[in-house]
Amino acid sequence: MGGLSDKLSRIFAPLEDLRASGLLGHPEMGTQLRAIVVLASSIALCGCKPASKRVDDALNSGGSWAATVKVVTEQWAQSRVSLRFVRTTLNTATNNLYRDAESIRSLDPAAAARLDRVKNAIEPVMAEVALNEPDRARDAAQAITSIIEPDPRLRSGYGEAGSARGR
Amino acid sequence: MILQLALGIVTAIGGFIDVGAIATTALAGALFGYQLVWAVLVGTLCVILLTEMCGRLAAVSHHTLADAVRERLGIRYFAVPLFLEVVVDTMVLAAEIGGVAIALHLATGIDYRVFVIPAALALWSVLWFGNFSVVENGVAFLGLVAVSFVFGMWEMRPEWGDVARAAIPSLPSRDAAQYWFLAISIVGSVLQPFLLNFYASGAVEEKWKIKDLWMNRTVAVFGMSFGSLIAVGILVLAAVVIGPRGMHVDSFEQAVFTLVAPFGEWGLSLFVASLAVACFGAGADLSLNLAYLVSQGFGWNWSENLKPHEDARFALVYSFAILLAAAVVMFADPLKLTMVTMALNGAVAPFIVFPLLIVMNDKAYLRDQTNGLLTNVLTSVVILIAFVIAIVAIPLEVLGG
Repeated sequence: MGGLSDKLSRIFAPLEDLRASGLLGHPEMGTQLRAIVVLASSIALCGCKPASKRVDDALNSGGSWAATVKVVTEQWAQSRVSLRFVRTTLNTATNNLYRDAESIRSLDPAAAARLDRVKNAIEPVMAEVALNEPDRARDAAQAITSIIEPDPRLRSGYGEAGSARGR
Repeated sequence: MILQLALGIVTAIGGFIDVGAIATTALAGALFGYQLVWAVLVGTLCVILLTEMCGRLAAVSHHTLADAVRERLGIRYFAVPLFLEVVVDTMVLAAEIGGVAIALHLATGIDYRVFVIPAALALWSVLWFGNFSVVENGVAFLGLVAVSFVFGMWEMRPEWGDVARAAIPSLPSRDAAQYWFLAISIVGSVLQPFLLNFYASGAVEEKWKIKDLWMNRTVAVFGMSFGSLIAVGILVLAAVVIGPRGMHVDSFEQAVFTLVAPFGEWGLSLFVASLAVACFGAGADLSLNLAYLVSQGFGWNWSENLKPHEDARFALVYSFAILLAAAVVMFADPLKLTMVTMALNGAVAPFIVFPLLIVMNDKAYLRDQTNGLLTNVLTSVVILIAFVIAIVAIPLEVLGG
C-alpha cells in the first residue's frame, strides 16, 4: 500500500510543483487540475467494454465488411469505382476482419472463426481482382454475405425512413 | 461589400465541414436513417448564436473570447477552459491531419500513415509562409467542393417528407446509448469550441468594427446554415445509400459510397477532394486557434499576419501542436479518434460557452450590444442539454450501455 502511495505521489509530483510555483496564479488551482486529471483518468478507465458487447460489435462490423465487399465489387463491375479503390477496400476489409477476430478470439472462439471464414472468403475475390475480372470478382463476393448476415438492425430499424426513390 | 460578404459566407461554409461532420453524420445516417437530422439542426442553431456573439464581442470590444474571459474572470478560472480546449483541440487536430492522410490513402491505396508527416508539413508550411487571408479564404474556396454532398442528396431523391419529419427530435426505438452518443457527436462536430475563439480572433485580425455587425450576423446565419445543409446532405446520402446495403461506417472506404451512388466514377474523386480540403482547412483553423488561445492566454504577441520572427511564441505553439497531433494520429485510428473527440467537444462546451455568456452580458465590453434574454436562455438550455447527453452517453457507449 505504501508503495502504491509513493507511486501516486511521484505521478502527481509535477502537478504539485506546478501548483507550488504559483505559475497558475493561485495555489488552489492545483485542486482543479487534479479534478481534471481524475476525470480524464475515469474516462480512460471506461474504455473497457464488456465481453458480450465486444463480440457483438465485432460480428456487426464483420457483417458490414461482408456487405461492403459485395457492394464494391458490384460497383466495380458497373465501372463506377476504380480497380485501385477496390484493392484498397478489400485490403482494409481483410485487415479489419483480422483485427476484429483477434480481439474476440479468447472471448468467443466460434464468433472469431466466423470472422475468419469471411476473411478467407475475400481471398478468391482478391484473386479475381488481381486478374482484373470485375464480373467474376462480383460473383465471388456474392457468397460472402451468406457466411455472416449484415447487421440486422440496419434493415429493421428504419427501412421506410431510409428509403429513396432514386438508386 | 458584397464580395466581402460572399467571402465571409464561403469561409463559414468551409469552416463548418470537417472530418468530424463527415464521419458523425455518415455513421448516423447509416445506422439510424434520417432520424438524427435534428441533431445537425440543434448544433447549427447553437453555432449560429455563438459565432454571432463572438463576432459581436470582437467588433464592439476588440477582444477575442480568450482575452475577454481571462480579463473578466481571471487567470485562475481561465486556466480550466484553456487546459480543456488545448487538449480537445489537439485531439481534433490529430483527427483532421488523419482525415487528410486518409483522403490520400483512398486516392492512392498507400497506408495513411505514410501521408501523415507530409500532410502535417504542408499544413505547417501554409501557416508559416501564408497570412490569415490565405489560410481562411484560399482553403475555404477549395472547400466548396463539399457542396457535392448537397447535389448528391438532390440526385438521390430521398423521401423529403421523412427528412423534414426527422427535424423534430425523437426517441430511438433501439440502441439508445449509440443513438445519444451519435447525437452528441453530431452536435459536437457542428459546435466545435475552437470555432468560437477562432471566429473572434479572425474578426480582430480583420479589424471588424461596430459598422460590421450586420455582416457578422449575415455570415453567421447564412454561412452556418449552408454548412449545415452539407452536413444534412451527408447524413441523408448515408441513410439512402449505406445503411440499406447493410454497411456501417467503420472506415472511410465505406463512406465513399455516399458520393459514388449519385456521381458514379466521379464519386471517389469528389469524396477524396471534399475530405482532404475540408480536413486541411479545419486543421489550419485548429492550429491557429491553439496558437491564438495560448498566446492570448499568456499575453504574448499574436497574429497570423505577422512574420513568424515577430511573434515567435505564437508560431512555436502551432508548430508544436501540429507535430504533437501528427504523432497522435500515427498511433490512433483516425475514425475512432474523430468519434471520441467530437463527443468530447459536447462535454467541454459549457466550460467555454458559459464564460462567453457572462462576458456577452457585461456592458463594460458590449456597451449597448449585450445579449437579449431569449439568446441567453436558448444558448444555456441547448448547451446544458448537450452536456448532460455527453456525460450520460459517452460512458454508456464505451461500456456497452
